[in-house]
Amino acid sequence: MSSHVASSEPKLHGLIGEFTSADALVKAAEAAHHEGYKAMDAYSPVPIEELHHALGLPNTKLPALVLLGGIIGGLSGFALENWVSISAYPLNIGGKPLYSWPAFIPVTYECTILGAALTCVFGMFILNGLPQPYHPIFNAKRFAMASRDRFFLCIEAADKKFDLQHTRTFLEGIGAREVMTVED
Amino acid sequence: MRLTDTAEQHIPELAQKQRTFLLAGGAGAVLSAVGYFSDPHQFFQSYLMGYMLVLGLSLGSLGLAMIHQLSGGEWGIVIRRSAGASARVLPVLTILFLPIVFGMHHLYEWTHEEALHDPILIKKAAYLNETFFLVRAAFYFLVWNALAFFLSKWSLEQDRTGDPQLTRKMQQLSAAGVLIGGMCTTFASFDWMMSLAPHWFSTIYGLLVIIGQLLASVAFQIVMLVWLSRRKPMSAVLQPIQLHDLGNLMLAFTIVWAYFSFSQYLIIWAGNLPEEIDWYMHRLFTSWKWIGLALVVFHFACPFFLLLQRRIKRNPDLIVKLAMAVRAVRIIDMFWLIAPDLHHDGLHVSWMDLVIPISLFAIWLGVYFQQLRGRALLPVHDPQFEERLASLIAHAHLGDEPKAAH
Repeated sequence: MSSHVASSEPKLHGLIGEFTSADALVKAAEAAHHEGYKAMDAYSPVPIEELHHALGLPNTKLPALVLLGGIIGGLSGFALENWVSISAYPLNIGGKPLYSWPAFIPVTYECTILGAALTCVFGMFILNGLPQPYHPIFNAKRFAMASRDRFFLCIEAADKKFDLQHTRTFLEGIGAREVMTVED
Repeated sequence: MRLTDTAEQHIPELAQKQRTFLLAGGAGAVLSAVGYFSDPHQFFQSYLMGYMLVLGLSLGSLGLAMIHQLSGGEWGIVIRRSAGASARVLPVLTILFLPIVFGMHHLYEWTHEEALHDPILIKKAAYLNETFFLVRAAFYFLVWNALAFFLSKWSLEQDRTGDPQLTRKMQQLSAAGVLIGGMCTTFASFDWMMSLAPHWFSTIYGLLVIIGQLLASVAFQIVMLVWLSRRKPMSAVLQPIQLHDLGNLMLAFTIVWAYFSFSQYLIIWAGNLPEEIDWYMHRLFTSWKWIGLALVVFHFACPFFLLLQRRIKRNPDLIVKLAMAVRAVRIIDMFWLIAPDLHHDGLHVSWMDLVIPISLFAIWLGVYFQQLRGRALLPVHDPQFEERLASLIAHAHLGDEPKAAH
């Protein structure tokens, strides 16, 4: 039984190219997307608005989820007010009917905000796959610079078009200052 | 062509726009005069409504310009010259206030003899009397005109000299201006609109009027920005992100408008006091309620859900249509604030409610285009402009020497 031989050799996560400006990163991402690479990600110390489009990523589902969270929050707030005021603890306030919807609106409104905000925060975490204690990208030597002044584009080995030699030449060709392998 | 050239050098058709709108306004004024002789009471009511709408465009634009001086942001740089031109219509609006002075007795019950026998109005007489009303109006116009004048003057001076110190001066004036100008608008709305129902009072009313003005102005500035961006030099500057920000402002103002409107209703509904509910009684228990319902649907619900969508905010064609619709529903809101107090029994629309506001808007637009013509369309020496937009223009190879002025 000698099936454990392969495991001693580290697997490859992908190739990472280092860029010196946001502009260069966006251009590189566009070129890679154009070339047909799909499994890739870009890393930058500052948010870059165009990057999302350059990488060819699908639109995020978060806004739709937040809307849904808001609607559910609002409906539950309104339902809660109805239940409390009409059946759980009916109180005569200023001779107004038990069902006085204008008085329910502030709570409905606040619950809408609460539902939307909680969905937004936790939805963001879940869709981003956070928290994630281990990510192979941190194995790259110079990756710490990504939180300072360097920009990185990583083409992952999982991509169908990935080929160590070809992809390295490609990254160098689109202006990467340095290309490094990232171990898994 | 250079960025420092005036709008007219870039877009020669502005002069023709000015003439067309002033002619239309003149024709409307003649038609309105017919209305004055046939029914002066209705004339002054429609005039007040039309006047508050165009005044709101100037004051709201002045407000946006001052807020931008304090907050910064690309959205404000691209609309700043158009907002400045809107604010510089104020001297003309000062003159156009005169018909309201002459129509006081038609509009305001507290100017009548009977007010002397009204126990509530006697107590309010120290504030609600004709002399003090006119003194206050003079003061409001003085403040608004001074703010518009100095901000415009310094901005023009900066175009010439490039002195960055002027930005500091404009920021300081804006900080004071947002406060003092805002107070003036609050009291002006109490005097000119709220006192139509002199027994009634609402402390949030002024803010409600101000937010309406800001909403109308941001909608107008979006329409103009997109129109200008179909032409040089603005075509090189307009980015989806700026429209997105302006759309978000429109969304925020729409929400705040709904929030203030509902707060006012909720507090009066909960208190249920005779002197407070009167205002809502003849609005909600007569056919006026349809106007109220239209506001809930078209002034809040529709724009709210449409403006939530990023796709709409970033698309010039769509956001312009929405902004025009918002401008239109502002008329309904102003109608709701003014008309029911003069027609307690139920919904009453006169032809003058359309003709007079449209004529005043045409005159306003004529003066606006005249003010827009004489200056560069971008504040090229504003430090923020150099920081954020100058590179876009350089990329676009707009002219022979885009940064020649440096």
